[in-house]
Amino acid sequence: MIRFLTVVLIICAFVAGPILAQPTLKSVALPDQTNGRLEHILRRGALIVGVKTDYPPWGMLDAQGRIIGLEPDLARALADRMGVDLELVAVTASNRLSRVNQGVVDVVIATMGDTVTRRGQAGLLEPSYYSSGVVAYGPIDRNYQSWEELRGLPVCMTQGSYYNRTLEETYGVDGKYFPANREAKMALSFGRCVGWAFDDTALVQRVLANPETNYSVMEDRILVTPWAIGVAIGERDAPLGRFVSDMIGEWHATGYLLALERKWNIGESAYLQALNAAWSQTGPEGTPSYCNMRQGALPPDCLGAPPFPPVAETGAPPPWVADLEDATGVDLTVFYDAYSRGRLIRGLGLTLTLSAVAIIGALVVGLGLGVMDASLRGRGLWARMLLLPQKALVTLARMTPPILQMYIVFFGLGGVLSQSSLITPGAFTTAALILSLYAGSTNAVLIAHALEQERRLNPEKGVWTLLPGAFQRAFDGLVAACVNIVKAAGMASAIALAELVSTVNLIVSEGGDVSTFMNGLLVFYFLLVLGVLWLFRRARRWVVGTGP
Amino acid sequence: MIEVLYDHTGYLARGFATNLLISILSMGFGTVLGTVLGWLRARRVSGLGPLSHFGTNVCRNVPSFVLLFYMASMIPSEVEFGGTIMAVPLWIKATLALTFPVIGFTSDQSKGFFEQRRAGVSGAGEIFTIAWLQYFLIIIMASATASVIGADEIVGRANIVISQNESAQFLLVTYLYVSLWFLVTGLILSGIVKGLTRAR
Repeated sequence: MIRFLTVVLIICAFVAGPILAQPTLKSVALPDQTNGRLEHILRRGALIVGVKTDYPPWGMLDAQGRIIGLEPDLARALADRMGVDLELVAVTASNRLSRVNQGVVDVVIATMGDTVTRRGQAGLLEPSYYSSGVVAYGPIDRNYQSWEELRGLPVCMTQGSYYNRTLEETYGVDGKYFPANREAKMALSFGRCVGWAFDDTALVQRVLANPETNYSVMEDRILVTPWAIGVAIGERDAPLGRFVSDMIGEWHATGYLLALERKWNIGESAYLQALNAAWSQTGPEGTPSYCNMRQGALPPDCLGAPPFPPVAETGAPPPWVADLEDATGVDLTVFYDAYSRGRLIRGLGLTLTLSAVAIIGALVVGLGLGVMDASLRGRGLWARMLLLPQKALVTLARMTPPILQMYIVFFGLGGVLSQSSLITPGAFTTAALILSLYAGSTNAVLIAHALEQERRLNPEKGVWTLLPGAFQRAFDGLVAACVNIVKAAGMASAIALAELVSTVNLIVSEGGDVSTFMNGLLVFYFLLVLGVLWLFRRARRWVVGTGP
Repeated sequence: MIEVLYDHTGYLARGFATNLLISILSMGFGTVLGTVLGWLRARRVSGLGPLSHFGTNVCRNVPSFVLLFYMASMIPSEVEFGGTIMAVPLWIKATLALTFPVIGFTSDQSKGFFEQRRAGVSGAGEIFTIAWLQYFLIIIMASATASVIGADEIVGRANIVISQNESAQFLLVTYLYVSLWFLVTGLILSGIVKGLTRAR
């Protein structure tokens, strides 16, 4: 018996020997001395992490509306190690950097590509924890297989993705920008673009999860980039950044990330396997690990792929731009980049055109519906019947928020129309129509009311002869409604019209100076409205020869 | 489709309560501040009169939609109060953004009110109330834009409900259902305005 037990023990020692001989992985602990954001988190008793909710299975909502996925699991692991509660906040590609820099979230784990440009905008941590490239997703019958085939074609894009600019500048696609994946996908299915350019990780999973749909992903995966966890600018080398970096290293070393891939049915990726292999190696001279962060710079195979290189900007700003920034904080560098300048000029042009079209539309709609009201009012049953649709239209247009009207027409009605192979209105047409109707219905009420008052003074005159007097009477109200429509034109950004508000948000999401752009936008609108008021006063003087 | 919407009615209703809260608070703050500006303008208080005129111009001319993004990016997301860290929710930022146009509007209306009252014109109060209620309707409609900065109101919640089902029909029905909430509120407010107009 004793001999048997001895044999068993010897066998056990042989089997266990190599395992025990491996370096024991020491769990990352919180530093003794905390300051900055980490101290803030510990005092608050909660870690706030920005994650995606539209990127299954990395970040998504369950049936109860809770945020779950691979990245929320990583967030949970961070909070547990800190010994604090976890709060997850949904972020998008376009707002994740600003959210972490504003302090809305402490950490972003939101499928963020690591780029040299972003490293200058926030604290992007090493090592990377995932990687993806960009592919196009589109209807199977079109079957685009390379980016060259998409040159010059409209492609839906999600605002804030690192590859958007390269796809437009180098691959020549005509980008249609949407605030989030949901809108980009909807716009694709409603035929507003030929494909949706997005991360291969998300799109491959999408095709696998919905094999019955008629969509496929192209083979041509380009611009492959590692993913980085982000903290606020300045926190990268502070205790929070160092702690999270150590945790990422631990996740690679223990195979936790690979385990999460299995848990979420993604399948082990070669990228994470290579990182796991590097991080589980022993160091050359008895160091606990080959990838030892405390030994200075990490070997490249511990970091993952290098960050996406910066886009070459055209034109260097003159020295006074830097002086101005030092003196006032106003950063005009973006205006010296031809690509951004071009977008701003196009955005400005679209805002001015949309405002002009909406003002004319609102006056035409107001005139038509107002005259209809004044002509038919008090003319018996048939006239009342004819007035019913007019009243319904005016009530609906005035009492439905214009942003909701745009969603309804652009995505809802547009979607239903596209499924029935009818022509669907574009973003500009939709915005111009909705804004004209919204302000036009207010104008209709004003004109009808003014015509009624004119008629009381001149009962013998016809509606058309009373019109100039009515216009005079309703002038201030009409101007107010038209000014409101100019102010509301920015809402068209919600349906991917690249007007000024949309362009400014896009540039800010790509690292443009928030304060310069936001203050600039306010000043621009202040002057635009003053200009519109001045034009109306000129027009009044020109038409009637008098005026205030 | 209808059952899904029925199940989410409570969730959407709580979102709409946020819309009403944003609207009521911005009307409240805006009315108080706007009335002060209007009074200063009507009284032509030396020095302060032109300043309040400029303040009114700024509030009137700057779009609330742009102010939403402005507040979202320029106001800190947490404040420390007596050693406690408190989050500044996005609906408060939306309320602030919508307060500005209300200040501009009330300043103009109350200036007229104070001038009419001084001139002995009767009914100045009713004119002010009716115009104020009509503007309240505009602000309720504008509160729907708070979703663009991520405020947890009805349109934002509708977008979450829609994200669980990708059909165009479901999207259309959900948005129409949300519109109905605004429409009913608008009709109630218009009813009150009509009642007041008749009472005059």
